[in-house]
Amino acid sequence: MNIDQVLSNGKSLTSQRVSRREALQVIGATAGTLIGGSALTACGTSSSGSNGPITLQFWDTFSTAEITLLHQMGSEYTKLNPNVKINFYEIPFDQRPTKIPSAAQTNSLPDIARADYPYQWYLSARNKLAHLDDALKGWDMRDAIYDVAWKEVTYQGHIIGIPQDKFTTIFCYNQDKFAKDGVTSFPTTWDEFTSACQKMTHGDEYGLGLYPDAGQLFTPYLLGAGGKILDANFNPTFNQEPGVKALQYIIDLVSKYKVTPPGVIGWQYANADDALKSGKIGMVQFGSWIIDNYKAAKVPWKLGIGAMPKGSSGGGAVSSTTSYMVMNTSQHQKEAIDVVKWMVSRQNALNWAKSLDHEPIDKFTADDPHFTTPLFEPFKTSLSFASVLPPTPAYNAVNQAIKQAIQKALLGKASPKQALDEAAATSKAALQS
Amino acid sequence: MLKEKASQADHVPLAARPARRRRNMTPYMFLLPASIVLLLIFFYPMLNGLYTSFTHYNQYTDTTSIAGFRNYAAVLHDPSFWNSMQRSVIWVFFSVVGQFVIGFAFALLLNERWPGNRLMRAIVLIPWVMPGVSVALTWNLIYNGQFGLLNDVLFRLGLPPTQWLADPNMAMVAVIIANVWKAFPFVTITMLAGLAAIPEELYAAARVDGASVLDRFVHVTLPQLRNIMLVVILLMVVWTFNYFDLVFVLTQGGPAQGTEIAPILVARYAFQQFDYGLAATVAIIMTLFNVIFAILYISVLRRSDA
Repeated sequence: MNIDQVLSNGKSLTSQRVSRREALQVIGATAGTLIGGSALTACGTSSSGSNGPITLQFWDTFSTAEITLLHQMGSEYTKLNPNVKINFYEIPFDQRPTKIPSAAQTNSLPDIARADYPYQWYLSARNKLAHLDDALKGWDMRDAIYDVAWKEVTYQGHIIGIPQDKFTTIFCYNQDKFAKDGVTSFPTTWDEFTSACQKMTHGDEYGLGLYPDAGQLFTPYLLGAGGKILDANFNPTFNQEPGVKALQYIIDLVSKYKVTPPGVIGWQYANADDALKSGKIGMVQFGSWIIDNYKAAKVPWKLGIGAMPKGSSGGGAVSSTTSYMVMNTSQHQKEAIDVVKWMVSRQNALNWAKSLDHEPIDKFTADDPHFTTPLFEPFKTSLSFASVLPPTPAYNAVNQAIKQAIQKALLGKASPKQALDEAAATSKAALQS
Repeated sequence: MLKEKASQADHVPLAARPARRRRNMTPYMFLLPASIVLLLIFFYPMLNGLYTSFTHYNQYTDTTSIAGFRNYAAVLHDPSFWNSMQRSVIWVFFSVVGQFVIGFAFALLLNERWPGNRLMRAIVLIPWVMPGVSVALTWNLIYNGQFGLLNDVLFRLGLPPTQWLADPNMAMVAVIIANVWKAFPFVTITMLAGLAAIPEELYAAARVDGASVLDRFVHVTLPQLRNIMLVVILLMVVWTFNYFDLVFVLTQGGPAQGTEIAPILVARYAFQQFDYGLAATVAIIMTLFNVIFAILYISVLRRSDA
């Protein structure tokens, strides 16, 4: 069918005849376009020629400094192994909840992913991760990496990832403000902690900054009070007496002792971070990532690190591990496993922690003189009492329910017990689904 | 006449029938590619969402089973759902009223001739073209209790500072203000287009009849813009009801579920609880609300026309 003819003979387009062949061509072209489009969407998978170099797809997240270092390591690996190329693809932190589940549902996961809690459980439950037990036999880092980190990558008795980075809840504090307000050492008990916060609260300055969050704020106090988030059968237990005690303590800090700035109920991570950087806040619960961040930001005061003060049942801290995971859908599992083992080799683990000032994930790194300074001592101290979060993909829902309970209790809309009971009921429903 | 045509068709020679059939098929052939694409990108997700709302996904076994109406029953018995509906009504009503009033006022202002008018027309579009996430981050800084611009202004006026995002009701006010700021330019540009289309003769005739400015606005401008207003308000209601990113970045639905509007609840079910059945159920209920609203709104306006 010739468009020129159509237009020159003055007839409308719809009056032209379409032969069966032309109709089939239209249908064929449409189907071809759609099939071609579908094929293009399968860009998450690795590629290779029959004998040529292979390309591994590697998804990662987190800070610019971490990403830069990861890419350097990738280039170095390719130099050493020219047959393996690595395509890094950064997923913004906030997009993980949609990107990873979408990829899992549509079978477009990469060869390797670097992610943390709870995505290892999410992917394991869907049988998407390669079991690494055999590949790690005899590997020197198998015993060197801390047990608490291996717990976070062990699912139904199988190792489903290699721990690569570890963040324990600690306090980041402003040493200059501590000294100025007469707090000579970091508090080791809840009572000392309250007292230190009160000393540092005056005028428009406050002892403590916080943001309502289950893992970062509530859980360390819950553990210190002798509680647990869930029992062995995944039933919520955070609403029992230790949980109520922990939440009451947080409420007292905010409402009774007023050692936090007004409005912390609505704070998010960035608010607490900005407040600490400003120098008007004594301390905030964070992790070791802050050390390098604050160096880069050139904060005009000296940073200190303090372990969580002990509650009535001792210390409590959450250890959160970032790991490299190899997908069992990868066509190049062996090569992918070799890459991640190399990335967490003794030398590279040290290089990673040292370059970024992150807490060590293994005993070799911890023995390096860089990590035997007072700044890193609290991480070592916390190892004896740090716990991992429960191994369930539904934990984000539990976290959200506890966050709402903290906010309700802080607003006085419910007592700590009522708020936690409500959160436990919501969590139970989420954990069952 | 029709009978005559029908009888003529009956007498078409057999040899000519395939040709006629081919001719009749032609427009459908042209429509076919677009129809297939439309079916795939519009109806497939919609039907899939509807199907998902009747299923239960077990995240521990990675299996999906038919749940019947259990998801609907669970959602309707969940206090979070009713809270989200209540918060959504407040969110939509005040957002749309604010956007419409401010947007229309700007349109009237920019419809007049004054120096800098063209520049102002461009400037007024800035909030509309900004991504929702950027708007949320900007307003987060403005609302910051310690260093925020708004509290600084209050302080300079001798007023006490307000914790904008720390109280559930105040947080709702805060997100509505941010949303009004973001979306009023859409009303402005649409109404401006409508204002430009009103014939000048109508205003001239009204002036001859001695109509005041207010009379001209009520009896000429408003009736002439009626259809555009109908479309704008309908669009604003549907968009605001479905809007997610601004609220999520500013408050994440908090504090204490104070700003947990329906789309935030969908995201919570889907991406925190990984319960796609419940998420799809709320999404379907949201769609029904939108459809029912649109039908009621249009029918009420038609009745008032009659």
